Amino acid sequence: MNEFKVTYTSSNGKVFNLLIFDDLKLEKADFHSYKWGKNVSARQFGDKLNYFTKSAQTYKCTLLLNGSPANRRAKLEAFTQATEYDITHMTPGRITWGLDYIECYLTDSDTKPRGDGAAYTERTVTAYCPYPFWIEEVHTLIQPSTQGIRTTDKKYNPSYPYPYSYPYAPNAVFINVDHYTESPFKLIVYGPCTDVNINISGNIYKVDHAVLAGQYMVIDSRPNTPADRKCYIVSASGIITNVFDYRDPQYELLKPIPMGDVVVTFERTHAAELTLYMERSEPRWKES
Amino acid sequence: MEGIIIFDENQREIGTLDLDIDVEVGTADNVPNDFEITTNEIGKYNAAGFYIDGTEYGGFFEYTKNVTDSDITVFRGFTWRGLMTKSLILPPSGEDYKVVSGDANAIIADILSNVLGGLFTVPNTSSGLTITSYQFPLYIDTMNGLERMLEKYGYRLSIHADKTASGIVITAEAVEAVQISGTYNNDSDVPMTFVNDQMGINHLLCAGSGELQERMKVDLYLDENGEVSQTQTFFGFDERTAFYDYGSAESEDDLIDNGSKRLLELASHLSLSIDVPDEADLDIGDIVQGTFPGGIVVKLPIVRKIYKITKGIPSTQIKIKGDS
Repeated sequence: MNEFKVTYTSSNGKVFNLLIFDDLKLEKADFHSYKWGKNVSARQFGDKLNYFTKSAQTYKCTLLLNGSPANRRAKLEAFTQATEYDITHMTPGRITWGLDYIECYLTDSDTKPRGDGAAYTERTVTAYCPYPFWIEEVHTLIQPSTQGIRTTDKKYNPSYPYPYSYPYAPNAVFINVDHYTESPFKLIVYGPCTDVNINISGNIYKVDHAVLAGQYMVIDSRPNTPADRKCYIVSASGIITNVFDYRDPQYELLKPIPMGDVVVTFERTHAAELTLYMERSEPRWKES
Repeated sequence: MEGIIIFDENQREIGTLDLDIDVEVGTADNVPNDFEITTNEIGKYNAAGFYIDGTEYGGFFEYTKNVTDSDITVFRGFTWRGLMTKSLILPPSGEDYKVVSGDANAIIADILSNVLGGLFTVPNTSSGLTITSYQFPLYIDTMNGLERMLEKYGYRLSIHADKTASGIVITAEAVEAVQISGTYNNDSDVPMTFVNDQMGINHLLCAGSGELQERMKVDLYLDENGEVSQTQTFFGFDERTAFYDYGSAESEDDLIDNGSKRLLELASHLSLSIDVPDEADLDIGDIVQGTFPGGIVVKLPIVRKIYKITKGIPSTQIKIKGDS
């Protein structure tokens, strides 16, 4: 088991541990509160439910800091610089709770002493989350069959116990997706291959463009991904080329990955890596 | 379906965007056949237009509006159908009218071959419909000309943009019109409203140029079959009269012509409207048939379609002739 962690990471990579007083200890937050909106048509008896909606999420958080006044000032200054960097660059920071994270901006802040003799400094912040979902990433790396048929989903979360994958057939890998709905994904296909043609639970992710040795192709279905980064190739020297136009229109290139049992089938002469972004209204309760 | 796809000046796809859009297409006189998108996203990609795969929702960005202190841009343009209205069907040199015969797709291909630099592709397969000596109205725009020709035979124009290996292709072809039916007192998958408006006018006193007693005047009457003439049919309680002031009439024929149109607008009539579920697959030119009390059957084409994505939620509104 990994140590449970709660952090704030700014978009320029500054990390604050929200579990220790020397950093900024999170005393109170409401990360497990959420609300769905409803669109309905009123009927004689009740409503006809049309669809659900969800507004941007805000969380009010209380952070406590102790230690010497000089250390507190230094820590508060570092925290302010990090969170204001996010605001001024319009690039969100990230609150991590266990294995889940949500992207946010700290839009409101208030700081004051607390306790006898100002033993603590209290900072109250409001986290504004434009996209109101916590994300849990699950990675599956599928090696070429010539290198054995071992697969793993534990590259980034080695302790993550429940999604698992294993060879299913010579060209197929089975993945169990422990989630209650379909998920956006990022699929990385490592060259060389003459085209990309991967069947995931019946939908074919097909791009008629070669990926050369040293290159890799990325297919990224996440809703906030820029339009020209939905499908692209990265060369060995890091040059990015948009290849969305080479998608095969017979299939849905950005179709989310279903929940439950998922079978990935392709000519495993090259490696591929599938990342699922399982979206949740609150962080997972399961012990991490 | 990949959602809203933006493309570059070579009609090559750039990618998908999550946008709110407002598209309106149709054949009714007041339908603009255009779209509007308000966003700060499109400007980042040097996009020339957008489309939704397999539909007629799409077009080129030909109008932008910006204001100071904002990076939000309003993008507008004609839909594919709207672009087709920006050319006319002309009589061949030395002839009074354009008259066509043959397979509908071959006729469409011939007419569209010189429209907008060959923007539209027409399948070289048979449509299954053979046209015989159809005469286009003079100087009608291409889209309405083709739709009127096909409507006469129970067909309609299908316009759709699709992704191919060579880029985005905008196809126009003849397809048989879908017909949906409903009866006033029966359940229907497509809820219909039946209006029997007998509060209309059947006698129009039309006045043209001139002053007082010298003014040009014509009495126009509607008969039981809905025909306009100068012979009165309804009398007494049934006669309903109104005045039509058309002082710029150039002649009595002109006054009769315009007065007749006005009388038909004011006449008693049956009309239908439909409340189409978003998932219903109906297009411009498809037919709605409604059976009124007394067994009167009215068949009207769909003439307006409004497609919106608002806060990510798509919705479709469909209007039939007389309800637009």
